[in-house]
Amino acid sequence: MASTTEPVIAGMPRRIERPSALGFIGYAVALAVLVWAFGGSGWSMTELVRGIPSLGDFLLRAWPPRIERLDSLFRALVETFQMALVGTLVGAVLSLPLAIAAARGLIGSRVLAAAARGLVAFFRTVPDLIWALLFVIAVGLGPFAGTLAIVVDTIGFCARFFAEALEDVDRGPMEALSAQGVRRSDSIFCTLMPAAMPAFITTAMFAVEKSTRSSVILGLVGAGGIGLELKVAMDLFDYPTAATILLMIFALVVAVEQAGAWARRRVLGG
Amino acid sequence: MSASLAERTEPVAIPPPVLDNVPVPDDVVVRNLSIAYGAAAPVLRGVSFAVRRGETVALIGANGAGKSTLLKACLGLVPPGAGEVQVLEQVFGGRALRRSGPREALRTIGFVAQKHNLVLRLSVLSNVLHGFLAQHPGPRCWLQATAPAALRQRALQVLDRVGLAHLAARRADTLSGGQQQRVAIARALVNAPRLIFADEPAASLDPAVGEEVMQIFTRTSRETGTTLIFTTHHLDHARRHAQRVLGLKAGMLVIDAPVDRLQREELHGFYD
Ligand SMILES: Nc1ncnc2c1ncn2[C@@H]1O[C@H](COP(=O)(O)OP(=O)(O)OP(=O)(O)O)[C@@H](O)[C@H]1O
Ligand SMILES: [Mg+2]
Repeated sequence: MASTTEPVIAGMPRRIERPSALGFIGYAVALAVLVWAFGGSGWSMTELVRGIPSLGDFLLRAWPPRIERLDSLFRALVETFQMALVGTLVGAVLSLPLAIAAARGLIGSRVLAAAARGLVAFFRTVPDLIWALLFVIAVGLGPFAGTLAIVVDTIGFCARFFAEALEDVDRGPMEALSAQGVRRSDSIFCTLMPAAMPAFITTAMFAVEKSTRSSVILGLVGAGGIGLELKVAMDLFDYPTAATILLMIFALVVAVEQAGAWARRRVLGG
Repeated sequence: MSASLAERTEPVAIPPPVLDNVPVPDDVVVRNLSIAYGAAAPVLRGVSFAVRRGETVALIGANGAGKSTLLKACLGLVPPGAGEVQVLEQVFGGRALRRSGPREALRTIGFVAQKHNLVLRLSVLSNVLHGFLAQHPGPRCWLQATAPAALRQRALQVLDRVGLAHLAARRADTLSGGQQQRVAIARALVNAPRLIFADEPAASLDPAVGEEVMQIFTRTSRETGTTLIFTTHHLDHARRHAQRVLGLKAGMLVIDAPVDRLQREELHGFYD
């Protein structure tokens, strides 16, 4: 047997590192938290089963969908999409400088980086519906309030991922330029931005999809879009119209997601 | 690749004085330089040498000897742990260099890194134009589409000198490794630097092109008085293209000799 004569070399890494005592405690705590959370969420299989007939009742009463107000509903749907598109575009553009400030090891100033990261985290943690309520107070009812809410929500999402994309880019070309005395800002725009551009674009595409979904909801608080129509229909027990609206929303979200997936393939492929 | 760079771009350096009694300034002075990455064992240990203006110097040493680290320290990319680096009369010492890099001096430096030099998603011409950014800061030189016509013209001329003018419009990631390296060389030369650092510039090039590229460097140095420091694993490149050889072994400078006085014995055991 040839294999028995081969020398055994020391220093072979373990296949799986054995978790430390601290690691074991970590797993146990995580499990306990999960059990505790299920308890608090009121999770109940019996309630779920009992609820299914009422859902069926809604579906029966909603069928067939009512298409009388189709043109005004369609206008509201288009407005929803317009809000999503503009809000995401403005948000993504505003995300760029914030991402540069927030990315590690780019601007040098720790204070600025921490401030940028804090601001982005704040934008992200406040839910979009709350932003919409605030902007309705600021600029009044209508699509502009919703668009502003989407801008803020998009910054919270995009600036974070843009910053991570910038941190992931190979710094070799940037070093080569700074070695020749090129200004930091120029080398960021010349080397990091082009390299991170595909990640920026795919992130922005995801943001459009996300914004389309949230712009539907924003109508509930009067911030424009088709959400208001849905709320009115539900409040009036006009389930057939609500069904039409839900189907339209479904079609819009699927269309945007398909277009986004196609565009991402094009960007990543080219 | 016929006419010389010097005829096309204004040389910014003074040719080296011929008289022996006229003092020639030192472009690079390294004093007692030690560098360690993190808590690891030091990569460079007490390295000292000086390179005079107009000199061509080859830096040799086994893999991991510290050649790239030494070049990066000269460029302010790696802070010196102990000792001092002085480049074009600018001092890199201690941790100050991170904060306020001596930009002015660096603007007349050309650098070819060992790898990962180019912005792969941009065109070859855009990459070469980035070499002008130190002297022409601002968005115009970010992309070839917006660059001033005169600079585009000069970039294309330098690309022609490395034999790649026909690929100017191609995206950098569609080039072979050797072609990419030559683009990086063009970017380093385009600004007519006074001082060139090249980290294994010929490593990924075939013998003929490697020879050609080394000749571009040495001819530029001869004609414009540019100081050239390059690393190499080809001893014949060191012999034929450098005036002086520095040898690093395990982070220490063990060879510092003019090429014509470099003895066979000195190299004996150098790579062991
Ligand atoms: N960024 C880094 N972090 C940690 N260690 C590093 C880093 N860069 C280099 N080293 C280590 O420093 C030592 C010297 O590396 P360096 O790249 O300077 O060698 P070199 O002489 O250029 O080698 P080669 O001929 O392979 O290019 C090596 O042991 C390497 O592992
Ligand atoms: Mg090296």
